[in-house]
Amino acid sequence: MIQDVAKTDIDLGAWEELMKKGITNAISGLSQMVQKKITVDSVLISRIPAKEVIDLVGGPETLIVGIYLNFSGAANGHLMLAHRPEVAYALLGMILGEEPVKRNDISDYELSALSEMGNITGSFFLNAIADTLGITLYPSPPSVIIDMAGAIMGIALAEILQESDEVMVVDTVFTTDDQSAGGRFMIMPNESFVQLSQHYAR
Amino acid sequence: MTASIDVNISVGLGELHVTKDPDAVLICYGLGSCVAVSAFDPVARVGAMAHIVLPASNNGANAILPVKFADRGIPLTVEKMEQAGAQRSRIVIKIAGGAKMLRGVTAGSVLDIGERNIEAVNVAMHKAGLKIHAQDIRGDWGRCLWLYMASGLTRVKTAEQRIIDL
Repeated sequence: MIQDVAKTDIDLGAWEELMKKGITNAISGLSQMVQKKITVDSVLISRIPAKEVIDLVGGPETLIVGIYLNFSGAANGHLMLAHRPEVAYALLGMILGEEPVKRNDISDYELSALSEMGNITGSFFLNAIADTLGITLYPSPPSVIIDMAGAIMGIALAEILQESDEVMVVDTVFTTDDQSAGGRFMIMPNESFVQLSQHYAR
Repeated sequence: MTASIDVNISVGLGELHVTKDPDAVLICYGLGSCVAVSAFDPVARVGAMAHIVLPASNNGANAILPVKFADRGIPLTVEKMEQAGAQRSRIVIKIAGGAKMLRGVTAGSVLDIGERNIEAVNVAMHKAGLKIHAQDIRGDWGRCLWLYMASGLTRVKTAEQRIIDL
């Protein structure tokens, strides 16, 4: 399902395999949480300019619900679940067992449900990677932010841009089997995380 | 009255755009901790917008996008404007952004990149002998900044469609 792999100086075969393992586990965690089958539509692994990372989620002015967490330990990086608001409400409906209604506000209860979605997806992803490599990775508490995509993605991008002009991104697009909701799970690792794959013997 | 069509120019992360086109509208979309710097010489009608991402480069590295760093982006903005005919003493500076998007981050801490960006922009402006005329900064929300070349007007818009003219 890998659509595009940028040329880099690392063993991307091993990197892809590692990412797929993590993503499969993350999606399985999410699937258990929303109690629906989830299909991975595409996984894009690429090193692209920061501007293009924001374009993946609809451009800098697009209103999104971002569930953000970062991780530290043996390596650092950023994880983001990015949804259009209507998708976030649909996912919330599945978790809370309510019919999604179109509106603009979000309750504290719903915020914590979204936050938990970030917890589950993030820790399932990190656990798979950590178990495979025999390392420890610590997720941060998730932050749920509803704002312009540029402002939200900037949290991860600013840190990465300190070291480089381009950003390694692993972008997974998924939908529930009944097509009622889809979203994206993005991994934006620091260089230390990309280098991890070198220790991964296939 | 002659009709003219606005030419929207989106200034991305770490980019700088300098123009003399009276129909141009320079725009920084989706600013969080980033700071957009709008600069306009009302006499020479030279305008610029820089999208600053970080306060300073770690090691003075020759990045492809030096404008992403405040310490390098501000002098570059002024230099390019002067090359286009602007006069430093006339340049009107307005800035927007520098928000703290993560609630968990302590305001003013090293992780508060927005605040550090604001400080770095102020320092760089002072070094360049420039004054910030107006600003819409801090908070915990995203913004867009427009500079209309025809009028020199700068406008901020938030995700809740709140509009502020600077």
